[in-house]
Amino acid sequence: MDITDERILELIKNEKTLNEGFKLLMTKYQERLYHHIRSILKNHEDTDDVLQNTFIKVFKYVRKFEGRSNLYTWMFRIATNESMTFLNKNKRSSEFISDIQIENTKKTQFNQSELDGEKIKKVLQGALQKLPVKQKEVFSLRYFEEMSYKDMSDALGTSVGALKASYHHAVKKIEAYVTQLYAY
Amino acid sequence: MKTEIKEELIEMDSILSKFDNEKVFLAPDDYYDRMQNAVLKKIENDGKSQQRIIRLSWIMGIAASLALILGIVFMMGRTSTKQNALSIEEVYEYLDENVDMLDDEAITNIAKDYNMNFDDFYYSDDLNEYLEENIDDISEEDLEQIF
Repeated sequence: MDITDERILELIKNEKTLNEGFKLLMTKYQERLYHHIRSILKNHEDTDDVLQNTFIKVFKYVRKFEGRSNLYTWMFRIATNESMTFLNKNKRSSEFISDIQIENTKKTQFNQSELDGEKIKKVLQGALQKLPVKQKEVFSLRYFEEMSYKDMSDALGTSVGALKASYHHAVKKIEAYVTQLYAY
Repeated sequence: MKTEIKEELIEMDSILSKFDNEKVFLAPDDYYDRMQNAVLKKIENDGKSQQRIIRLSWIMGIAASLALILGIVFMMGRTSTKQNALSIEEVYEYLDENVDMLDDEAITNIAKDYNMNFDDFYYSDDLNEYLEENIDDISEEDLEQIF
């Protein structure tokens, strides 16, 4: 979608075009937010609940949005908080890949020929579920959304150095997971 | 994949540099339209609930103000009634000063109006003193009427 955030905010801040502006906002960012929430919560139904709650919260506060960060990183933080609240409320937990598991993984040849597009998606889905939430966030933003470390720092309130380290660990853990499944 | 992202992965010697970074989680068909409608409906319902709450708050505020005003008026009314009423001492004083001019019926009515114990007047120290001072002038018939 080509419409700029400035234009969307202009529409939202006008009472007459509020609904139109908000629909455009949802359309522009719904897929990215869905993917981010889904990478934390695992299933579609929970993701749907949290995504709706996220947009309701966005609607409530967007007219007061001051533009200190960019619009997407602001909504991203709301989505992350809503996801964490959901996880805590429902006492969900993930089984994480530990650093020990990475060390214990033999360095083997990775049999890439076994992996086609769909398999890769499924494998990455599984691998993402094994990451701690923070690493999941960082990996999703960097690998899937191709966000710069500067923007990520604004979104997550973490230093660029810490983010780079977190991404590095996340990549290694995913590799370990994939290699365990498909190595020879 | 963006060059910057790919180069970073290659630098890490990561197999992920060989994959396409397409998003791995996809929503069902028509999901986003349904989701948007659900969100807009919830926002509309929240708006109506808030309006109901605001209206209710207004009504309660007005009711509370009226209750306060009525309470003040009532208290002022009680106070002024009290100010207009004579004290029992004042009634006794009147009766003492006018005992010669008042008959039994008048005294009875005054006692009733002020919820006085009829006996309080008739057996008061002032009456006893009066009787003692005037015992010689009061006939037996008058005494019988008094008691």
